[in-house]
Formats: sequence, C-alpha cells, structure tokens
Amino acid sequence: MVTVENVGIEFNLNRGKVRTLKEKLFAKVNDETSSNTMFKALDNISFNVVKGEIFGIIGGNGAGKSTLLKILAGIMKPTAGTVQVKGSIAPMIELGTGFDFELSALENIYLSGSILGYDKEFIDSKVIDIFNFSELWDFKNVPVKYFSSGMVARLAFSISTIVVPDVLIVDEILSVGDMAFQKRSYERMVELMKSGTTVIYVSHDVNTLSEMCSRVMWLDKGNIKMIGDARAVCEKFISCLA
Amino acid sequence: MNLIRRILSIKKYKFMLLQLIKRDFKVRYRGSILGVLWSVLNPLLNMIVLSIVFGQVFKAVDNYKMYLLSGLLIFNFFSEGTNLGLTSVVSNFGLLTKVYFPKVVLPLSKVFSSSINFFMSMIAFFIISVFMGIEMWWGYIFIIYLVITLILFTSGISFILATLQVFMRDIQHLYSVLIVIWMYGTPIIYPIDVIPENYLFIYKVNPLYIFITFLREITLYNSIPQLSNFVLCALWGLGVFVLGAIVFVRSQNKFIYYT
Repeated sequence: MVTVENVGIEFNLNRGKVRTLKEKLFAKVNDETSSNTMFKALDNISFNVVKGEIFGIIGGNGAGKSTLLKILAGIMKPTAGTVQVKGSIAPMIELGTGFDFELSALENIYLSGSILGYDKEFIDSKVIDIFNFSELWDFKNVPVKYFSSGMVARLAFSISTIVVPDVLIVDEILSVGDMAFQKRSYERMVELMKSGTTVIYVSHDVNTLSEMCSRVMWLDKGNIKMIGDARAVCEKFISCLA
Repeated sequence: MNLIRRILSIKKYKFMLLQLIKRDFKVRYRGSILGVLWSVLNPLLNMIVLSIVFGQVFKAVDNYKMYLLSGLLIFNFFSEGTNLGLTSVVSNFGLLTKVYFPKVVLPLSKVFSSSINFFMSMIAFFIISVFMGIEMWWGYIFIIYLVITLILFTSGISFILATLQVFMRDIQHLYSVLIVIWMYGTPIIYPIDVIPENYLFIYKVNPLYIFITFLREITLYNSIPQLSNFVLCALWGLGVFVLGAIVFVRSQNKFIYYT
C-alpha cells in the first residue's frame, strides 16, 4: 500500500532569517548567511506498509516523525527518494482543518469537508452521522467561536473519521474531549482499523502502540534506528530511555 | 499529461473553491445591518465624494459622475481582488501545512469572491446609469467579454503577487504604495486629454486604462470599442493569466518552507 524508498529531506536552517533587500544585494560581498547550513530532517528512510497493516512510528522530539507524515500526505516533497501510496489517503495531522470560527457547526462541516477533498453529495450523506457521533445536534447553527474547546475537538474528530480511507495517517489525536468521548473515539479508531484500512500511527504512547500495531518503526534524528515487531521495538525503546 | 492531471485535480476541488467563496461572502457581511447592500453603496459613496471634490475641476467632461463611476468600478475590483489574492497563500499557511490541496485554489477563491462583489457593483452601475440618462443598447453584450478578460488579468496578477509575498513579505507594503500610484496614474478621476502628448504612450499601455476605456466606449459613448481594444484586452487577460499560473505552479512546492 505504502512504499517509501530512500527518502530524505533537507531543510535550510537559515530560511527563517528573512533577508532585507540590502542584504540580498550585497550578499556576495560579506556574507555569512549565504553559506547555507543544511539540516537533514530525514535521511535514507525506506520501509513499506502492506494493506490492512497498522504501522506505528515512535521516536523522541525532533526525530522526524511529523515530517515523515507530511511527506506521506503529499504536503511536503522529499528532496531525495520516492514515496508511493496506493488509494486514497486521509491525513489526520491536525483536527479541524480549515475551521472558520465565525461560521456555524454545520457550515464548518461543509467547509472542512471540502478542504479534505470531499464533494457535496458525500458530505450531505454524512452530516447526520457527524452530528450523531459528536452529539452536537443542539449546536448545529451556533458559530464555532462560542464552542468550548472540547466541543470543537469533538466536531473536528467526527469530521476527520467519518470516512473510511484506504490509508489513514494519525498523529496522536485520540486525546480529545472528555473521558466519555475519548473512549468513543478510541473505539472508532479501532473500528476503522478493523475495517481493513491501512493505518500509519504516530504516537509517544508506547503502550498503545505495542498493543495496536503489528510493526513499529523507531526514528532517531532522521534515521531508522529499528524497525520490526511492535513489542520488540517498543521494549527496546523503553529500555533505551531508562 | 501533467497539465491534464493538474486540471483534473482542480476539478475535484471545485467544491472546496465554492465553499471558500461562500465563507468569504458570509464572513464579510456577518453582523452588518445593510449586508450585501454595502457592495453597492461603497462605490456609489466613493463616487459622490470624488465628484464633489473634482466635479468643478473637470467640468468639461461629459457626464462626469458616470465617467468617474465607470473607472472606479473596474479599478476597485482589480484593487480588491489583487490585494486579497496577495495575502491568500500567506494567511492560509495553517492549511497548507496540514493537508494537501491544489494551492491555486487560494488566490482563485479570493478573486472570485471579489468578482461577486464586482457583479453587485456592476448591477448598481447599470441602475444608476439609467437614472443618469444613459440608455442601454445591444452593445452592452460586449461587457461580458470585458468582465472575462478582466477577471483573467486580475487572477494572473494575484498569482504573481501571492507567490512573491511568500518569499518576501515586503511585497504587501510595496504593493499598497504601487496601487495608489496606479490609481492616480490611470485616467479614472481625470480625462486623458490633460496628459501631455509625449507621456501619452505610458497611458496607452496601462492595462487598466484599456479595460476602463472599453467600458466607457460602450456605456458613455454608445459605440463598440475598436478592434485593437478587443485584442489588447484579450492579450493582457490571457497573457498575464498564463504567466501568473506558470510562476505560481513552478514555485508552489517551495511555499511550505517559507511559513
């Protein structure tokens, strides 16, 4: 389903420094900024995920997990290597993609849904499910700016998980809403996974990963440190932290 | 091949484009009592102010109020569309880093929502022109041609500005000065006759002047614009649109590194 070959990506560490016109013009004369310091966020990453597999990714902060997800979702283009994804892909990198807080819950379902690439008929057919799952019927026409953050998260999660994509990319989003909703969202995730969707799941939570995933990849500073059976990788990861 | 695939992928996001335009429209008038009427009132009030100030100076111009309004109609649309288009990518970085979609949707949605405003103002323009003693005739049909080429031109400029703004945030400030220069450099509030002969060529190549002349020929002077005017409208519209699209598409993959 997902094949990643020799993927690497480099960032220019100086890109944050906005150069004024003057600096640009006289850059050749005395220049520290032009000697670009390149930073390899990912280096020579290769793996493949088969259909129906739940594939976990762990690693410390700055290991390159989110960057890898962005490459898989097509948001970033790698500077080296190739990525192949068969079928539709739904990135859940952030909840509430494209929400406009001035608009009502119903309007936001259409807005957010359209940004995720769904058409009108599809969203029409899912509106009822979304409101049922998020339990926000009473707030259908209320602008989202008056919602509590938990309510926003519930609405967002319901929109994101309403479809069954071929490949689902999840970046730690289960911890939204109150306890009851957390439980239901966890169940919904399991349900999605059982329905044959291929899942790529990034988390810091080693317990959930070893429980849910079949294989786990451990990223460290942009390199694959270990890849294989979920339990084995997770144990190694914990022992390394201790 | 690649181009066909691109166009197809945009078609898939037609609904997104529609939703973004709808959003702009809703948010724009939310909480205002007169709502959409402001699209009509704004250019009208603008015209009244300017005609009070300059009406005495340019007494010689026939039907000065309509002369002014026709210029403002075109220029306001261009100015609004490009200004919104300029920030369209930068203000949506939150989206760009979270989900994949054809980025060209962003500036396009802004130009289209300005177009809706433009249509409203245009209807107002026609109504007022009847009161001002201008009769509609079959030549008005060519205004459709003008609108299409003008929207293409505005989109093209928006693509270029949106791209530049990502790499250099100075563009926004530069453009706000440029648009004022452009406004006073275009015969909107004054007639072209006041320009000395040797500077005339600068005015003749100004695309906005070409578009405005096209409208004035039809509405104010009851004549069909010259063939050269038709050709120039198409050249500017299509040319800038294609150029802008190339610039935008070529650099869109780099956008994400400049958030």
